[in-house]
Amino acid sequence: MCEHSKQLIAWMDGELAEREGAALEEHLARCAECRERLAAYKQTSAGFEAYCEAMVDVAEEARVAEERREIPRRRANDLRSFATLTRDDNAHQKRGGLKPAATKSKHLLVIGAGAIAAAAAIAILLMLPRQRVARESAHARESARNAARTPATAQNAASVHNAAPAHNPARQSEAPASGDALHAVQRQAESIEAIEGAERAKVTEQAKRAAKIQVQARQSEAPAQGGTLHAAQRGLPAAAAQRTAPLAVSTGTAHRRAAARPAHPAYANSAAGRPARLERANGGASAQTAQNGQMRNASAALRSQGESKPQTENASAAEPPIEIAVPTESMFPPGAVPEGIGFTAVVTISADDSAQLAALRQRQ
Amino acid sequence: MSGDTLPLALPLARLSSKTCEATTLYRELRQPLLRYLVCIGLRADEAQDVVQDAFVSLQKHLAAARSQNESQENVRGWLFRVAHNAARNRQKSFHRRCSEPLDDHVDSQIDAFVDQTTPESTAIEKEKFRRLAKAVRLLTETERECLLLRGGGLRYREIGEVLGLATSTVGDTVERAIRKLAEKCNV
Repeated sequence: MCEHSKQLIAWMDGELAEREGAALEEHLARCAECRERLAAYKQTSAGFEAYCEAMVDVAEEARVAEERREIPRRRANDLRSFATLTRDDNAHQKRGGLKPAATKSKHLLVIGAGAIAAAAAIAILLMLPRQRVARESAHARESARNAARTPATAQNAASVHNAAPAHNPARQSEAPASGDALHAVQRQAESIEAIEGAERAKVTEQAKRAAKIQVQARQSEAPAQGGTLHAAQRGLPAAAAQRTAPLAVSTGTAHRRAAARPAHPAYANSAAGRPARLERANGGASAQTAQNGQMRNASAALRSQGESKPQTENASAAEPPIEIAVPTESMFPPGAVPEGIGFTAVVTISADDSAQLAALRQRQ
Repeated sequence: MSGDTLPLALPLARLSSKTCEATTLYRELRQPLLRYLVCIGLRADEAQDVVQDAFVSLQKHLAAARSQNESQENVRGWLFRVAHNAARNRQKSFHRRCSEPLDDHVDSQIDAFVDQTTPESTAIEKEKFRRLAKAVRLLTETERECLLLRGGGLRYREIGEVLGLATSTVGDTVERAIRKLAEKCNV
């Protein structure tokens, strides 16, 4: 290999000094190998230039091809959105509406449906524990009312118990147990009376008087109807259960409550608050567990029957509506929902815990 | 070489005096810049963006130099350096998202660069081009960049400024790269 061959490329590029360049030119005139090599280098340089030009053409073709792929897709998207808008316009005009804004398209419907579904799901999840609490609190109130009324029943039972040995010796073995239950009921009634105050005391007094009259009437019928005494005796533990049951049932299930109450024979004949309880025992538990709208319907039905409004209904109706805010960012991609648009879904929870959409309003 | 028609060292003061000279510089340097950027791995649209940004930077640079009455030689080297750095930053920031290299598709452009006078010469030229393309892929990044900048009309000193290499290193690299290509192409 010629020693001047290393300078060939630099000479070709004009990078050699003037003196060095002149010396190389003299050498090239004499050396055929360097001439060949120089020609090869020039050819390679030209080939590399062609390669670079080809690269530029390839890049340009790739860009054009990408644009060609993009254009039909964009056009299809444009056509699709145009078709959607046209369909929405036609539907709106068929309904007799004015020309809708272009933004009120199918997207809003989809967004609204999604928001409703999410709100309903969250409402169900949040309402379930509240329903249980509401049932139990209503039951506690009911038990308190029963307790206020029970002394009359207890008095009734006590008087019957005192008379029992004379009239029905076969039932003597049940009497001590009934007496214990009576004392427990009386103690509980006293404690509840102390808590609930003078108003409860008034109700209790009225109930006592009413019960006394009933007992006197039964006692007068007792010699003729031996079964009445039996019924009163049988009612005593049931009355005790009636007072204690809500306390126990408050941790139990609604099914047990519904089954326990109508077993009391006097239950269907007692004074205030009875219709609501009966309705609940007959599958009307929805009146207690449903939302305010259903509660109002139930109370209207009761009022139409001339009955007093149940206390539990007042408590449930007084509860404020539950509002659940579902952020749009958690449900939709950013920018999908225009800023400032929100929906309020009114959801009704029925007795079987299923949710039904009552109304959907756009929030202002 | 397209760069051979350009003056190798344009004085900045002369450029800044008249806007039309800057326009002339844009027309002459745009294509070599695009080719360089595409050949170092940018897509065509990205290369166009970088070229545009580079010329915007050049305008600002010229305005600043004019206000300070400075003159700067080697505007072309400055422009290539700006474009080179911008291209590298873009490639880093996008993690080479520009997908597959275009080298594999160069063969599709053979017909545009070969002598097609006779079928025999066409076949020979195509074969040479394929070998060259194969050899180019074997070059190191520095060798390739040196050859590309050389093809853009830059002197070894300017190439050294763009790539941060000594002028002698650039000479050696260019010589080695061309010799490698020539050997691989068997010419």
